[in-house]
Amino acid sequence: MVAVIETVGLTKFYGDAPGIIDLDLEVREGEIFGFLGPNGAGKSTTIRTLLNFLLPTRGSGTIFGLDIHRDTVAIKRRTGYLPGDLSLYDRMTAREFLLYFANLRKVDTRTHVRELADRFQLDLDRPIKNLSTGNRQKVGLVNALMHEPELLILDEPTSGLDPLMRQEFLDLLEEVREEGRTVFLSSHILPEVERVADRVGIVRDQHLVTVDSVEAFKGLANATVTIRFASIPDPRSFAALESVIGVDPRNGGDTLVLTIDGTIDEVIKMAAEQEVLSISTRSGELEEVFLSYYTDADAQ
Amino acid sequence: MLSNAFTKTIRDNLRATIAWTAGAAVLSLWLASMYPYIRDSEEMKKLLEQIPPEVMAAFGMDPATFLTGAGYLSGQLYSFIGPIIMIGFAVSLGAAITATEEKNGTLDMLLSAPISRTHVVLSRFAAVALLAAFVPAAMAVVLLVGNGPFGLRLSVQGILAVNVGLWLLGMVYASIAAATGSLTGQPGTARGVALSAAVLAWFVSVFAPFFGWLDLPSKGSPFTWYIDENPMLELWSTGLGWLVISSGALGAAAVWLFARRDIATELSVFPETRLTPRRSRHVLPRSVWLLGSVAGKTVWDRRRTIFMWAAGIASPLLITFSAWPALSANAAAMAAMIGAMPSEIFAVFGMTDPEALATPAGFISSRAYVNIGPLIMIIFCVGGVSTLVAKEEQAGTLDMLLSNPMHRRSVLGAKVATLGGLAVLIAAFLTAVAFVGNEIWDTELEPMHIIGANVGLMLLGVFFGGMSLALWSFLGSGGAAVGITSAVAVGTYFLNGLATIVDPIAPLRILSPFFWYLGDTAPLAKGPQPAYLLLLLGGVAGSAIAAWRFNTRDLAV
Repeated sequence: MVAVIETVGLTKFYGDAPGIIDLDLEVREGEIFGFLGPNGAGKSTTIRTLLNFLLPTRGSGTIFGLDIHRDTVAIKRRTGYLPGDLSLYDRMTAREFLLYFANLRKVDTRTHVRELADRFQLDLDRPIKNLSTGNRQKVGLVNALMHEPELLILDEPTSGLDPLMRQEFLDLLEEVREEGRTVFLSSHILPEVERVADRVGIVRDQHLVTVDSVEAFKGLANATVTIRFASIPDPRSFAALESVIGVDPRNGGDTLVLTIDGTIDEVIKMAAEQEVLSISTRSGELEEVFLSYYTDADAQ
Repeated sequence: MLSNAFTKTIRDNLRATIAWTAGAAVLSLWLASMYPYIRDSEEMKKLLEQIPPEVMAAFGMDPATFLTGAGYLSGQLYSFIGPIIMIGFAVSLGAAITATEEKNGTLDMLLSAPISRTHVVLSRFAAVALLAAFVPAAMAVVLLVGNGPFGLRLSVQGILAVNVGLWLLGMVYASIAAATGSLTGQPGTARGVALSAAVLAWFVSVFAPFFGWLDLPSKGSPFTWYIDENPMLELWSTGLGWLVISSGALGAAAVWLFARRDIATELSVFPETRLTPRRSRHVLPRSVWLLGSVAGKTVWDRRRTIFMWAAGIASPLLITFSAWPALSANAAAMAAMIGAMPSEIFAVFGMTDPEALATPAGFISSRAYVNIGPLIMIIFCVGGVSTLVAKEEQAGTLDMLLSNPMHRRSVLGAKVATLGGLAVLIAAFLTAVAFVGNEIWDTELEPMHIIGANVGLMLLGVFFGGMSLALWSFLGSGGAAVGITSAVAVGTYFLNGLATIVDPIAPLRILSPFFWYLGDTAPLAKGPQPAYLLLLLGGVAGSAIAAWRFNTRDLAV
């Protein structure tokens, strides 16, 4: 796998205040890389440093093997960017805005703009200042996508979009991946990342905490089984089972919420020894893993 | 400070108020401290004897009062620069009463609180009145304290009267800005309308003596109410009453208009015209060819206002040309200009060549190329740097722009070069207007002199534009860059004038860009000067520093 984005010890300080510290990141060609973290963790600082809007305090980075500072123009020729805090020229219409940016790229994007605008149901002929937040976001998305870049760097791309448009956009990202292009997706909307991302990096307190595939993260999540008994069971007998890592008696003790790591088989067999009124299971979700990373840096 | 709309407005504007107030106080102190030198200047006395009285009169200098503290300060401080500072500050406050927040989108939030619109406008209006009073109050304090030490011999009543007048003058234009903002919700429109009204009123008042038909309009000009009877000598005049009535009426209009309008919607002002789209779908306006490059986009941004700038700078010139026959023919009309004109021109033109004052070159230069011309040209260049370059960083569009495959320095270079090109266009237009005026009113100016004056004027703007660009590149704030540049411009303007009279500062005169531009000869009485190269070099150096700095710093942090 070829690395499209690669940083080594990339660090940015604003005076004394840290933005991102010692970032070692690798985003591979053709993948959708989810960049996750709570507000203020350093996601936007990373992106703005990658795009040379901020100069690294130390460390270095390359995109397409080109230096992020020295070769920024060559990088931008092949990159589409959507800022997290989107600002547009209010007095232009969307069509004028997109035409201007296509001209600056010296490419004819009219066909793609039309297709994308149809797909996102964006009215190109209204002044941008009169557009709603979601529609402004669509203008930013069309701008990032219209020249079919090899790399998309998207900072919170779906904010302001309605659920239908969000689906449409995620479908589009998957198409982008199918074409072998790369997506660097900063987000804090977990179901969205879970759906499209191949790999995920988590930043917290200005540090990259971990990077892994979405599947691996899901594997980390523990399933829970909630069993309601006709009579009060002995929680200790369940806690003794090898696959049970947590027992939480509820409802006066007739209900047990069991956290499972491994197979559910022995739990079911032990429960069957008594009269069971109801049983429900819930598989592990990415959200729990992420929350554990967000709140406790030492988790996992 | 956040307990209500009144105190919140004060808090929001505290920094700007301190800056404007400090600027006005420092300027007042400086001008007042120069007075003893002016009064005791042998050269000045000799000159006063030398100049024909009617010429003195035509330039707003009464030999009887010119050398008194009241006459000196009326002419230097209270007839031109003082009103500019006061009105500039007041208009920005007035536009912020509702329009600035409406454009920023925070007005919805504010009005979601359980307070009425009328309450919002009234509390802010009161806060604006209080804040605007700081500028004349500081000037009054400076004069009260300096009265004895500088031997100004002003009456306390006179000091109070002139500063109350100045404050009320500012409030009239703050109210115009507020009312326009209430009606349109556009802070830019509010400022533009209020400032245009001020420039118009100033012209009506100053030129009424030359044109009979301006007599009646001039009676309705706030400038006439403010300055017609020298408030430093005449104390309380009925004009002040008119200022109170008109600002009150306009303030009421602001309340009334704001309470009856849809807020922050494209359909707010003229619903019937805006409901139908202005153009059919998929059709781009003709100006779209400008969107091919950063340079083109810079022109696109100015494609409408450039004509206003050109008209704004050309009309004073034409009016001045047209006034020349009346001036040369009618000594009585000349005498009537007393008190209406800034007299720093005296220092600039009078010292080495008093006779020049009575020539077309001296007179037209004094009106169009010494104060109002440089003022508009400098605002165009410095303001252009602020709105076309610095504002992108503040508004956040710079990230988007630079996500395109372009070097930072080429983006900045394109914008600055285009701005310079627009300044050249304005100067070329102004030159053409001057040639036409020269023909029509037989002022017999040399063609090379006309060209020289306009080249100098343009380069003066380029110099200060370059300065504000360099400042912005370090400070990252367009507002701070404009503020510092304006202060330097005003300071060096007075330095150039006063250094001719005041010996201790005489050696500093060569540091003033206004000296490079004006020298000892009226701009229209000389061709292009070698010193103009200094202005050009300054502008280029400022841009180069900005390009270097802009290329090597974090953006929008």
